[in-house]
Amino acid sequence: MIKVLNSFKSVPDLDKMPAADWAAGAESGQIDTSYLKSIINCYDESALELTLRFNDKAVSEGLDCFLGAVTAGDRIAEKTLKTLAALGFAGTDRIVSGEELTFRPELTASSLLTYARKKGPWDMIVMGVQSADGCNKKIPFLVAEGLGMTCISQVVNFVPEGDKACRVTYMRDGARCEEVVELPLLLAVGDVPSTYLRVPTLKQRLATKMQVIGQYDAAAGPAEFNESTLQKVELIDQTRAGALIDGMDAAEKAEKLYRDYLKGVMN
Amino acid sequence: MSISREEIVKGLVNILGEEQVITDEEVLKESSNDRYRKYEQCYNVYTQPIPAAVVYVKSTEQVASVLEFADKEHINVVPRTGHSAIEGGLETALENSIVLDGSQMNKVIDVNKTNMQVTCQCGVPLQDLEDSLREQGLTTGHSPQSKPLAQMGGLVATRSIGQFSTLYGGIEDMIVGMEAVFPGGKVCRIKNVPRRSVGPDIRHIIMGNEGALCFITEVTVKMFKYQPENNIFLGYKIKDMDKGFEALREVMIEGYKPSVARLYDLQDAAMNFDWADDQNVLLFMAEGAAAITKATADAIDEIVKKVEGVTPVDPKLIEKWFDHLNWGPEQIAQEKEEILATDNIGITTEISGCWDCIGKIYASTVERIKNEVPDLTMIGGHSSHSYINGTNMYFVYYYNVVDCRPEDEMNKYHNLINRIICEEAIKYGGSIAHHHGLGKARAHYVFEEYGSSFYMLETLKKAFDPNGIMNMGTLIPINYNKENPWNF
Amino acid sequence: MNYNLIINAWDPEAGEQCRRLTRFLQDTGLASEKGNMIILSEEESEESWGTLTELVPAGSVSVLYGEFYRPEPVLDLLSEMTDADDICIFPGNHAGEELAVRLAARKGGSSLTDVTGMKIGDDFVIGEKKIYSGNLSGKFRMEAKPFCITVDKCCEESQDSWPAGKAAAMISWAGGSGRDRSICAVEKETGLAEAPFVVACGRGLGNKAAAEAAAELTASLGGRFGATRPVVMNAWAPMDDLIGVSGTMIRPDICIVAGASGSPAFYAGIEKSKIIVAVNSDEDAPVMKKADVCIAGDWKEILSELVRIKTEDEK
Repeated sequence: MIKVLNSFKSVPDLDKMPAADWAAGAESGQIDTSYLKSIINCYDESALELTLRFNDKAVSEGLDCFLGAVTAGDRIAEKTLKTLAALGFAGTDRIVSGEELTFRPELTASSLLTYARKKGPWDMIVMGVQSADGCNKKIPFLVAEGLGMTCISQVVNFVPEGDKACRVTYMRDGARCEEVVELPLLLAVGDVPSTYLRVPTLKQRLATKMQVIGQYDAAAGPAEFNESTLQKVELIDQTRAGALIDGMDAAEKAEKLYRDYLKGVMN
Repeated sequence: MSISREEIVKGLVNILGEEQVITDEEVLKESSNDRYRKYEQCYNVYTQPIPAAVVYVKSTEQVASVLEFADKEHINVVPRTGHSAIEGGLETALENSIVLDGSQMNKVIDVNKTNMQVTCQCGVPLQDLEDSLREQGLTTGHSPQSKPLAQMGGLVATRSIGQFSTLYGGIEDMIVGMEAVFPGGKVCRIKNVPRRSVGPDIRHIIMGNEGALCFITEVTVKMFKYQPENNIFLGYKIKDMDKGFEALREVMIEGYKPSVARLYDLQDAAMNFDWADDQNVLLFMAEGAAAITKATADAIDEIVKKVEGVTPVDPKLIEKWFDHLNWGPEQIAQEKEEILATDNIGITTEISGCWDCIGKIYASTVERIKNEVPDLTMIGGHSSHSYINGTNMYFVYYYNVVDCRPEDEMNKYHNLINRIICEEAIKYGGSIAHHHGLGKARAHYVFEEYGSSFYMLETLKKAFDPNGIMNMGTLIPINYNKENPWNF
Repeated sequence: MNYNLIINAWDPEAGEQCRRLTRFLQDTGLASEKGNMIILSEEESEESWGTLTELVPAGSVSVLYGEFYRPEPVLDLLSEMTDADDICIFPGNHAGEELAVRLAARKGGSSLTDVTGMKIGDDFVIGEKKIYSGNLSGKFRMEAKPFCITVDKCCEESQDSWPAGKAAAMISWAGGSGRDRSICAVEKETGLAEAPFVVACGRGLGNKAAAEAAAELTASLGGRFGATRPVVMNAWAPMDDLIGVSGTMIRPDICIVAGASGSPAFYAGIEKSKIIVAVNSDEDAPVMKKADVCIAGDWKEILSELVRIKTEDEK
């Protein structure tokens, strides 16, 4: 039995935030993303889909897997946990914390470690390298250090190699690597094209309707690692001249662009 | 009988010149269908006959010349402007069709502030028209979700309706006069007057014809004052769907006209609103002069709060959600990649019904779809256009395409679901299409829909298109079994 | 405070990374403090890392080498070599990120990734970095030493050089799990980072065919084609074309942005361009305000016209 834990985060869909709201937020110090729709952090989504593909492969080779999913966040994340239950994740837990965690990766990592130690030991822990809002890029590494696990970052694929090892494909600076690594292993998933989470049918949802969404209290007390604390938030001013090139049609506009700006550079 | 593709192209080039006649293979393939065959499109599979040419016309005279030529040579013509249709209306169902595209007739001809009317050619994009009017403190009041893509000709041809219809009405309430060209090249112009009583309202032959009777070249629609600063939003969670319909009905019967009045069922609400909490959602927007919006909002709030199982939500949530509702090319491209990656596809079908049957249509349709359709991942819907006597239901459904070639997806899933929806709508006395048009998708149910009045539709078609060249397959199916209309 | 600069020599951009770290030292005032350079290399010979020592003002140079890089054995060594009093500065690349965070965790220090600026206090530092997908900037206070940071790829590079350093210590690492290993060098498509003229396209292109058409038009103009993350993640263009924080940071003389609204992660990749020209059908697209020149129009028409004009001009 290969025990796999996926940790994921539900984040606000920041692409939908109008520019004016960023400016207002920076000024007031309060960034309000509450009205934005929640989505799965895209790197975590890739990680979840790759885990399901790993499981598909494992099953086809006669290997057993236990898939657990955990998230440290608001209740809205339970929607995703229900979806994951329908897709075959037998463990679906939420770590409940009163804290605002976006810029406190050390605190989040501590909660995940407490949970992982309680429900472990795990053969594999899989998650995305970072999230769009916090951009901390720390949690997989902190969890790996906390558990003393081998950690591979920028993973783009992983398949079972028997029940004690995993063939991992990952990117490093300037190269793409593939190797077989013994479990236990922590995998931080990077940029993988076309890895959207598959969609469960209503029947699948009905079948797992009663699956319990576990509630775990976040670790009390300070984080296991020393934090870097967010003090201030500022708007990044990137405005430039914005001179509009006018013209009757594309030909005229292109003519002006070529004559006034491009000619020197292009030839 | 029929002339060859090469001869069709030659004839068109003679009329329009080479620049306006497109025979590029990729363009022709893309022009053979519309978003009804969304799944096929994602996989670049084209099951419809590839048209002989796509022609871009620049004037009413050119439209007339092309239709004259097509009528003489018996060539099927599919009129098109924004290419945003979703019911198969743009499918080139016959071999060697001509796609007659009016998107280059994109001039706004007149903005008349005294009469509050704007006249434009068929290829004017609604988004552009609306943006430019808003800068002048005016609006068409027309805001369908396809606004970033749709153009005026198509919007009138399909009897479209927008998000603010509960106040402004559908296109039929907004249209004043128009110009259209009939097979054989006959140009007909209907003048702009506030109302007329000079026989039957012949504008309705043009409006809603879905390209099956004529080609619309020019339209005049009403304008209204644009006063967004007075908009008031209201939102509620509601436990019971039937009570939701009751609340909508109460608001309408009491005589209030919010521009937006919507009821989302549990499933559709969960997809749209993070805060829905496993409940149905009611939302409203009041628009117009300040005194009116305040009175409307206050009254609606009072009416809705009296209904059982209602919890108000922060109006700011509704306002922000509304700002991001429309679909542009970016979202469509993104959707395609998700479909390819997951083989999960989402579609919509809208029907209408009077108050006494809409709840039944909704409940029985959802039940049947759950039981009869394989690989379903979501079924739900919302009501978004209400009237004194009833409302619409916009079914939203997603399914995984499993073990199925792209060309077979239509019959395994999409047409099956549409049949269920149409059957239930007809059973309880509703209409099988509220605003997307019959297209070719639901043309199969036209007999049940019309009953004895089909005689009138059929006669119109025979009278205006005796040679059968206008968008064949739309409104009236090409192959049909009158005795057994549900089998095709 | 002492500083350690840690750089991995196998990064094809190791040179640029060094220049960035140097500039960072200069901007923060650390360049005048005592510092060490630690080079990580998969080759023992000086040929593979020697030139890097000319790019940084480090007092002493140590080289850690091993057959194949795995973070765990390297971290064991780094742990012994770094003092609690240090600031450890890593490049903003894959190796840098994992080593910085994990080293801080092991040593009870604090970490911050993609730092764009830093102010040094008596017993603390304030690091600045982009947050919320690059829409805003945040200032973070770090108090626990050692401070382990990575320097954002968008930071400026120093153009200074120093006499080459000799390795004071050569230490090998061994181990790190894995077998059956294969490595395939990812050829960073030559040109994107150095091209003086780039056309960068976004999701507004609509589909793969359009992306290919745009690439062709760009080639006809003698430019280099690049794309935003949504475009490559939809497989409309190869990953090599990716511009932005996850791809290549470019600094052309002219960058034409077509069909992209200007997301911060992408914009960070082009913000060093001398002139940015935005072509967008939407006059109000955010990118228009962040461009030097804007054209409201269809990208295909504009690019096609440019090709025509250029061809005629060259006759």
